[in-house]
Amino acid sequence: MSVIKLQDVSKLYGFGDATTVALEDVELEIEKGEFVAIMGPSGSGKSTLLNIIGLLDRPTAGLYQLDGRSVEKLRPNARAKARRDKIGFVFQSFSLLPKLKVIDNVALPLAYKGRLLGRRLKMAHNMLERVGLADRAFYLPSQLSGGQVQRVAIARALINDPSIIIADEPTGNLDSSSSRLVMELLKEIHEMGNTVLMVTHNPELTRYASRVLYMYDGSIERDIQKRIGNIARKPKEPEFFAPDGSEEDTLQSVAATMTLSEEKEAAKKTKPKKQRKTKRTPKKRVKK
Amino acid sequence: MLFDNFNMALSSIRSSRLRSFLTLLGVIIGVVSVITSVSLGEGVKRQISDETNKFGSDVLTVRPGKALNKDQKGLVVGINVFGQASTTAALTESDLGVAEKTNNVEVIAPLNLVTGLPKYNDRSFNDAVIIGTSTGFPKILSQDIEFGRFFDSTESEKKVAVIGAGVAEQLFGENVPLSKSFNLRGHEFIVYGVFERFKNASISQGIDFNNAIFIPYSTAKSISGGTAQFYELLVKADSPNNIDKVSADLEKRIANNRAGQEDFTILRANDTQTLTSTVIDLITLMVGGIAIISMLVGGIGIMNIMLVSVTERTREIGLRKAIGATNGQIMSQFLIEATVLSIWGAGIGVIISGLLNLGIRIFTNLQPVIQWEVVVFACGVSIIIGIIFGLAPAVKAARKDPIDALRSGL
Ligand SMILES: Nc1ncnc2c1ncn2[C@@H]1O[C@H](COP(=O)(O)OP(=O)(O)OP(=O)(O)O)[C@@H](O)[C@H]1O
Ligand SMILES: [Mg+2]
Repeated sequence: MSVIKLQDVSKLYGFGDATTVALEDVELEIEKGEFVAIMGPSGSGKSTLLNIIGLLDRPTAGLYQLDGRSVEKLRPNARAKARRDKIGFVFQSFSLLPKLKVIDNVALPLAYKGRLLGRRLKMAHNMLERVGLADRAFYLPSQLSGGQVQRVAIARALINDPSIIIADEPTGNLDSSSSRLVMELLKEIHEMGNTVLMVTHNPELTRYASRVLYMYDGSIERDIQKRIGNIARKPKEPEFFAPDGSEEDTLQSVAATMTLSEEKEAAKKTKPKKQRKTKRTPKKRVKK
Repeated sequence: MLFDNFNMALSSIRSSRLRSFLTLLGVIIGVVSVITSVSLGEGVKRQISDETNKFGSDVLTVRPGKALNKDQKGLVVGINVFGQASTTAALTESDLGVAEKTNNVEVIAPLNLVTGLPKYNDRSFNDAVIIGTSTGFPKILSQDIEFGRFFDSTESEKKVAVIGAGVAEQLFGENVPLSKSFNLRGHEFIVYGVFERFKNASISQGIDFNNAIFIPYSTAKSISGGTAQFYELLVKADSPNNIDKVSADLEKRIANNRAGQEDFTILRANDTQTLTSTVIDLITLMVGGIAIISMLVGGIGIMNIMLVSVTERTREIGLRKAIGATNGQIMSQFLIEATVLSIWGAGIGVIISGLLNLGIRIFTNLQPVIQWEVVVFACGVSIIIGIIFGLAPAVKAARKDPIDALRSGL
């Protein structure tokens, strides 16, 4: 059973002539234990997709099953509880409450769950130990470095043992060395069996992922399974928008680029998926 | 969770101390004025009742002017708050004369104010009040002389004086200035006695007997130019049972003497009490009303600061919702914050009231009495106001859409 299952999910903003299509008929299944990286140009709908998966936002159309259960009919409070118990968020910035000590930030989801103070602090302390920041437990977020803040945010995301960790550009504000520390932590967490979904603009970071999604204009253009440790090659844009080619042509061109990449195995695996994905007409491109 | 909210509320109030304090001014002023006005009123009432009880139920007070409207049974039905005492003629010696002839009267003491600054060697005492009275005065007040004695009837034309304890200290600089003499309007007076300290400073006429110099009223008359004008006659009946009779008789005689004009008032001990109590209750009610309005304004202040706070903390709300806070949990957080704010206001108000009370006791002769019921009431009202006015901001916070809140630029 998939942790995440989206069927024909769309998200529209505005109405009439001003309508923006942020997501268009997205199909996505994420299995337990995957580390999925999402890439794509700005405005392609990555954050929108994450917010819908994270139950912060609702899709305009389509079906969404989280842990096998449909979430469309959940009321706001039930959604809040589902966020608390099944989803761990790591944001790009303002990840922590500035007035709460590190340990209280980590323990906050437990507080909302109604756990007693002693137990909360103990669990939060264990979690801080896991991310290597136990000695900073009683600092305020303003006394931490950017990388430390993100590691605390990861500790908090983990505290309720969620089904999926959602990170929207977790290293977006960090320099390369802190960024590496944060990614190593995510890798560790992934190795312990957690499911991770991460948006990034840095192709380097796809090295940690087991699967990479490329989004363009509200759709998932490519979905590549890859081996962890290798960097996914950024697809060249023209290949998507080859003028009215047959399916074979497209397939070939995709295969060609794939062979170019160091990831031949992955290319084979993705081929069937790409067939479906590349069915899109270039009309949409014109529309934009 | 409640406890956490409480702590968070405290820390967010602490982080903007000045702003919180300014917001709370309305609540603070409200609490202070409720507590202070009620305790002042209560204190004054007690002081007056102590004082009139000291007179005893067999003492009548005759004052010029019509202060009370009474029905046929002698019950007070109305009060002239702005009494015309100043426009009506004072009581005269002939009024005293007819009063003395009234049956069943044991003793009468007229009170007559004399202006003048007493001087002793190089010293003088500005706050001194000079009262002309008769030999019956200590008996009517049941006040003992601590040193020396009161002047007797054979000395009613002499320049002798009995003084309050305050005068002894302030004018003579000693406790027992017996047979010392002081100068008043160019006349030498000899001190015959010193009163025991009056426990309850008389405030009904704004006179503190501890600062008073008592001289025979005939002497008072002669040194102040020939006429005696009494501001009060104290009349003691021979028995409390005869008080009604004496009162009626007295009223008839004095009215007759004043050509039928009833421009004077006869008060019994409890009448004086009723009079002042009613006035005080009225004032307390007025100040209390203003205080409640002030608290409402304070409530609006709390609402305002909470609305600002909700807007400022939109991202925080978004983050909290993202990690699983329900609408109810967000709402209770902000509601608790508003409540904590108003509890602070009430607390500061109570402390200021306490200090004010202390100040009043030290610097005036009033003795306000803070009653815990009033403190509880004032705090209760301000906390309820905090909750009511905190509700709208809390609901606003709870209803924020998580994604919009997270995206907000703040
Ligand atoms: N609240 C909104 N109202 C209207 N349009 C919106 C709103 N939020 C997002 N959009 C639009 O939806 C599209 C997708 O936005 P989204 O934030 O998902 O992009 P993104 O891929 O995360 O971009 P970036 O890499 O810059 O973060 C954009 O065209 C954006 O303008
Ligand atoms: Mg984004």
